[in-house]
Amino acid sequence: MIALGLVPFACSLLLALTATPLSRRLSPPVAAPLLTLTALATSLATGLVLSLAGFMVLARLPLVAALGGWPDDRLRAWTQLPAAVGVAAAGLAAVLLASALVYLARVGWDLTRAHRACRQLPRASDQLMITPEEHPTAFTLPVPLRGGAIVVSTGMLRLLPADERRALLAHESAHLRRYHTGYVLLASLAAAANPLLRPAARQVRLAVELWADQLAAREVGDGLVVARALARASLAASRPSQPGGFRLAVAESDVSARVHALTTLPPRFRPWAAASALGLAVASSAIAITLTFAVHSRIEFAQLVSARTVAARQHSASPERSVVRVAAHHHSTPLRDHFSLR
Amino acid sequence: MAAAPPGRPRGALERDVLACLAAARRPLSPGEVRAELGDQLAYTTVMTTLSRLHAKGAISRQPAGRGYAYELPDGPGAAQSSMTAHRMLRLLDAGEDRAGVLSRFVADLRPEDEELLTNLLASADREATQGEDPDQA
Repeated sequence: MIALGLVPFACSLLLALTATPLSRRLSPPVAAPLLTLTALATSLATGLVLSLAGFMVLARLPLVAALGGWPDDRLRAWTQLPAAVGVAAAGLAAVLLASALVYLARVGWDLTRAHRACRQLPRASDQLMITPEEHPTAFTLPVPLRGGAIVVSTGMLRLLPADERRALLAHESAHLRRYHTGYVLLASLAAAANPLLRPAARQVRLAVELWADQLAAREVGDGLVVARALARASLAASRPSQPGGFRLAVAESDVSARVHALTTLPPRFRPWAAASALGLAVASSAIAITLTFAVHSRIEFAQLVSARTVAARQHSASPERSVVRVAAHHHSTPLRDHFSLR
Repeated sequence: MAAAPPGRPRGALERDVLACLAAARRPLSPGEVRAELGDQLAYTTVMTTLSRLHAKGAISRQPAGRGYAYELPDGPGAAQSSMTAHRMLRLLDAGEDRAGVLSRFVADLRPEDEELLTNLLASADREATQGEDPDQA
């Protein structure tokens, strides 16, 4: 059982190592949802396994056992998990849960701010907001209850020729139409709850950019126009932040990957790449669900045993006792399987 | 003549017309907007889009010659939107958007990216000048 519990962690590690090659072999509209799903499933699985490990140790405490109505000595005999490991797992689970909650609170705060800012902004058109800033900026933000907004500065619009301007707007509106921020936020939430999934979340972020670039290229009919818009905008936007030729090293940059994707043919669909990502999701969820049921039935069995002991001690009426015995017998068959798993 | 190329989704033309007016430093006539958009749009299509935007209050117009010239509205609304824009841009500042709510079009550049992008633009511009006027290239 302990070995099984390690499977979701192995899956997270595998996903960390394979996120980049996987997303490179999948087309962005497949990669973004698939990696998001895998990250979420794996993150839930690791969280669940950590909580279960913590619970199995905490359940042995006499006080908890008395509250739950199961004999602590029996649980102790059943779990081989060392107490130190269980306590560490419980601590880790609490820290990761807190990290996920902090992330959620931050997203909520930012979305609220975005909503408030957009409410005061006169709307040029349904989604486009043009700000009189000279610095070239363009971004999309989801606005709760209003769909979303594309914010572009006048500086950016003056920088680009008409066809590249159209490419930029098509890119940004693709983000909104396909709910790209949703994928990014869900994958980041998964990574907040399991730091091993950070590479996967990063690949989701890149995949939605590639996806929007792809849709923009389809709309303007030429990937090179999108690449030029990206080049012109990025070069202009990065210029003022360069005091005396010195620039902070950027660890991760998507621009090269995006230009490469725009100027070459899209990757062919690779079923095995999609299948292996899906496999990681299925494996970790299946293990987590199995372990949850295993722990649940153990606790339930312990409760039944303790109920039967109490009943026997009190010499209660015989029909009731036989019901308990039948129920206990019913539960003991799958339990024997769980013992053999150890 | 087709009203809009099949690639343009609904609402995209209004978006592009607005962006075109915002980029111009002076009011534009429908003919100028059409020339600027440059993808064989019918004059009436551009005209309809401009009227629709004007009816929504998204753009203002003034008489010019026999027709109208269009521009983005100026005044108190613009000042307020500048303030709001500033607030939104603060969301973008490093460290502020830790949750990753915003999708930025431009990314941070590494020196090698810069080289790649400069080369891309240089070759694109070279092609453009060759295409327009082979004698000058």
